[in-house]
Amino acid sequence: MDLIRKLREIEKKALIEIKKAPDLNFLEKTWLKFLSRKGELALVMKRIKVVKKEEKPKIGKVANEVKNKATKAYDLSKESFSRRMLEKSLYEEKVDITAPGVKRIEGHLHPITKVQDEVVDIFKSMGFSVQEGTEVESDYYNFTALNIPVTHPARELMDTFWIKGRKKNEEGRELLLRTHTSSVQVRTMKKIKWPLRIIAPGKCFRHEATDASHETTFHQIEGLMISENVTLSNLKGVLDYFVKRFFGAGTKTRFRPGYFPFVEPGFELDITCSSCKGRGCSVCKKTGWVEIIPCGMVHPKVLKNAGLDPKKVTGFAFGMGLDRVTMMKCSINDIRLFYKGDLRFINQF
Amino acid sequence: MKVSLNFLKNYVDIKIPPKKLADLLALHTAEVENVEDFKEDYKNVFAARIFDIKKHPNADDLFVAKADLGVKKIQIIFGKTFPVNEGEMLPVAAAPATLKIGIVVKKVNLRGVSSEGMITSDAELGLPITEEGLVRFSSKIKPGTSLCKALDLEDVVFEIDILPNRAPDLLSHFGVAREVAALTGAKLKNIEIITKENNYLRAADFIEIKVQDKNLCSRYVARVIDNVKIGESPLALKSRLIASGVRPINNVVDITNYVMLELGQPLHAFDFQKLEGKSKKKIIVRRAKRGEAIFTLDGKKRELTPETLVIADEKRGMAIAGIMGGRNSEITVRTKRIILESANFNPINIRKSSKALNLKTEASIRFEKGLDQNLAEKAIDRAAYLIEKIAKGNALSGKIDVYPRKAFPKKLVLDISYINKFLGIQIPEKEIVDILERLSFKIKRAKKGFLNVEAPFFRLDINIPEELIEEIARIYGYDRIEATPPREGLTAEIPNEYFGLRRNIKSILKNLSFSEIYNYSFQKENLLKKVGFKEKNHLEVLNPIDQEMRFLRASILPGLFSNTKKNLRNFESFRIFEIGKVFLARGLDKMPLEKYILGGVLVGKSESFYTTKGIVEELFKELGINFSARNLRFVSKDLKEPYFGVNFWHPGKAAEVIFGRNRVGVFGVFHPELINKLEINKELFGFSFDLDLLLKIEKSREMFKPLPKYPEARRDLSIVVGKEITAEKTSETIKKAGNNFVKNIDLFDMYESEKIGKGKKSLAFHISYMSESRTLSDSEVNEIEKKVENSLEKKLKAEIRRK
Repeated sequence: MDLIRKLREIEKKALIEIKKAPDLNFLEKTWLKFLSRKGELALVMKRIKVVKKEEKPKIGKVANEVKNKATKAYDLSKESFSRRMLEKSLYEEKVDITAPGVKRIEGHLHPITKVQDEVVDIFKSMGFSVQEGTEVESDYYNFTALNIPVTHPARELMDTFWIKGRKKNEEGRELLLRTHTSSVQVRTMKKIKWPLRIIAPGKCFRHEATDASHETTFHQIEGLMISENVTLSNLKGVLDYFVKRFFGAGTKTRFRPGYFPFVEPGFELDITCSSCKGRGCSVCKKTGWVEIIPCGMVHPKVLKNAGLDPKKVTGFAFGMGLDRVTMMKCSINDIRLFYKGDLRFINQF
Repeated sequence: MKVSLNFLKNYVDIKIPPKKLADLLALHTAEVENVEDFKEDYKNVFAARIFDIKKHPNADDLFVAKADLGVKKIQIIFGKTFPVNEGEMLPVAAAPATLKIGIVVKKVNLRGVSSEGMITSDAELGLPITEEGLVRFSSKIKPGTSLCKALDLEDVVFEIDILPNRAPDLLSHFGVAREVAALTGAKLKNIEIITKENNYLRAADFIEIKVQDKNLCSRYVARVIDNVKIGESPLALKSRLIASGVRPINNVVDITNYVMLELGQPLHAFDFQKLEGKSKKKIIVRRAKRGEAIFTLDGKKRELTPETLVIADEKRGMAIAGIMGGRNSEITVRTKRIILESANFNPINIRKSSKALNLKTEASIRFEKGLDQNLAEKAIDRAAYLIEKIAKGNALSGKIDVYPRKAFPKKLVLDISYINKFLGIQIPEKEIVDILERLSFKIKRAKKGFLNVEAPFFRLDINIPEELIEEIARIYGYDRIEATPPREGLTAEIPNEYFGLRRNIKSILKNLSFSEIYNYSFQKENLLKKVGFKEKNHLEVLNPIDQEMRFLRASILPGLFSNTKKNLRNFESFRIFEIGKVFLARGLDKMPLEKYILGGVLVGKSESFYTTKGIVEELFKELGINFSARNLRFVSKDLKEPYFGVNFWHPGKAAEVIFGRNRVGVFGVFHPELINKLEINKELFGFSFDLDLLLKIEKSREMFKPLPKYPEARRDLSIVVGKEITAEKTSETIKKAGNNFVKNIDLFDMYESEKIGKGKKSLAFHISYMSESRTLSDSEVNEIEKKVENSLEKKLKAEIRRK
């Protein structure tokens, strides 16, 4: 039984040394000392040949037990050492997570394109189709057809760029650069008749001195709906929905009297000022409201000019300055930046 | 228009606070841009006695004095703009104060002397009070009296943006009061008019009116008033003018202005004595003669044309009709007898004259928007009454009234069911009638469901039923009209492929690292000249802001060149594009052709002909357009940008893209000469495509091919061929020689160098071999490869390079 005791001693010593091993190196040495082929355990086992036959199985069992226990302890310890080493090395590999990520060279759409797409998509979801007009337009479609005859004062409010030397066109009238996208109205009604729901985004021009909020070039989006039984209530319905989707669900609207010769009645649609949430600030001139969409019911004369019967159909029209809403949405303080082609500006979007 | 609350209260009781009134007007009538509470605005400005005036010890142009503010005395410093007398009462703003126009008054030390306030001129107060520009209070005013109290200006002024169609009835305090009465339900008060006419003298014996052009002057009413005593107006009258932004002058002139602000009818007073003729004077309303000039009340000489209407005596013009009076017939302190004019002039004519003369006045603003013809009579009577009362004059009996075509009230039939159908809500008939009556419309019931409506004279804007519906709806309240989505007029979307194509291209290019540019449609002349443009056929703006910018672009590219040049100051490499309209004139009798062009420019070390081509290929692939070498050819020598005399492209490094008979665009390297002229010292790459033509190309979709059943063998092949042998030709040769076993050819390297010899180039391919029916053995692949090599050697005189 000397051997069994011996084995138990080895077990005890091995377990203690494994436990107290301070590093992997020591652990490996412990393994060599006790568990390798030339280790203490192996040496003891060599002596099994000399014991009695009937004791062999018992001793063998104990030897196995000792071996298993020590090996298991060794394995556990080794695993724990290597895990700690890995952790340490991973920690040492750490990167600066605040440094910028590697970027693919980004492309950038013009901010007005982005806003225009957004607006178009909202109206498309309400069954509006995109129709477009020309930038060089006839006096007729830009003014006369919209109930703005030659003598009308509203012409002066829309200072116009005229095209040189080509007084007569197919219409027999002067050519100009359209002053608003409303020029699309009568053209579209003539083409499609009714029912129709259309929007017309596009570039417009006004002959005015430029400053941070005025440009000779700007973009608008026009809306027009014509059918039987189109009501003022419908105009409110469409624009309310648009405003809530585009400016946020909490945005409030109000309709005020407005005057535009091609609608009757005409309105100014105000929304609650987004910079002060309606409390009043410099953006909204302390009123809490910002004028955003001039609109109205299509004037019977305009319907007639388009060959439609005002007794049969009614409609509404609205227009919105895309530059201005883009400026509002992106806090841009100078409209001229849109047309300078400066990548320091465009690449911000 | 500036509207004074005190003025309004003459005609209607107002019980709601000013802010509420402003909101009410904004929602139902017209936008109120500003509400100015004078008591608040001028709370730190007082009538102060100035005394102890001394020269500033350290500044020649300044004076130091004390200002007695009643409760305290402060030290002030002032300059030489206005002479100041010892003991005089002047307006002084005591620090700390912020004046309405933004001037901040604070305690300061000016060259060693402290100042605790400032004497405020009219301009600094933002009020038109005196001719001199500085209020000098009477000595009766107690020092320390607030400015507002001293001037009867404890008022609130609304800046109302009257809509153009409502100008005829709303550009007056009475008009606004009428609207307020309709909105609040308060009663509108009458305006007192009791003209005592002198029975012994008849106006008709003293003046004769001749209106030559009845179209330009539809009514001319005149009165003669005797024995007027010209002097200062009473404070109550002056303060109303000041609050409304009109400077007081003398009682007669002030009354004409007061009545204009009250009723909206501009009036004019002439000094009777100054007109040609002895006892009976002749007033002629005529067009100005060619070369005629007139000195207007503002002291300026105005050259007139026959477009402009003048009020003249037998010899000369005395006033520009409806715009401004003349110096020659001005009311002065010596004036005893006056002629009062109240007329109705043609709005369009006044607008044109005012514009031609660059002269806008309170009168012209009102005439050019149109006025009720009845107002002329009412206003002249009101003015005569006030002149009798205030300037002690007495009116001669009768008035001269040239009024050939009397105005009739407008009558409309209103279909009640249409109102509700138009608005989308139900307003009870009773309420409709009530609203219209509150707005002074006369209602008679017609057959059931209809109303006969007579519009008041002053509502020039009401002509069609829809305009009546507007009246009903705005008073009823737009906020009470429910928002409902339209159920009518639903149709399928009208496809707009053109719009879709542009949107698609933008998104593809964005993903290919491009930035989108918006340029002006106008192009700078000096830029166009640099790149060899021809003026002929370029559309030109008749009235450009800047002569330099008078041409409309016929090409998208010059703008992008200019963008490139500017951006190179900040960036070394970039890719930009623009999709925009270009304009091509098509002769005198046709609308110009307008079309969308896509233009792009690439610059930077990593860009090349092949990166540019790669982009074009990717773009076409994304658009579903099959694009191959067959669609390309070198730019032809005569390829010129539309309306330009030059070719923009490098003849050896740019390709035209051809589909069918159309050249849809060009891409490649820009001509070095062009780049030189633009002074851009970099190689530029780019493209330009006609979107009309791009849209016409048939688009296709990727079709599925069964997955290969047998493995492919990949071999590399490297050859040297003559420079003129194209990649396309080489690939074709390989394909042909390889029978059906060549599945894919990928050119992965191409270069020229001295090592391989002049006029030669090296090409390297990855080639995949595969059979549809079995796995190819190594020896089979070797055999095919050998055939390919032989064919290349034979047909293209290629030299096979072995490792």
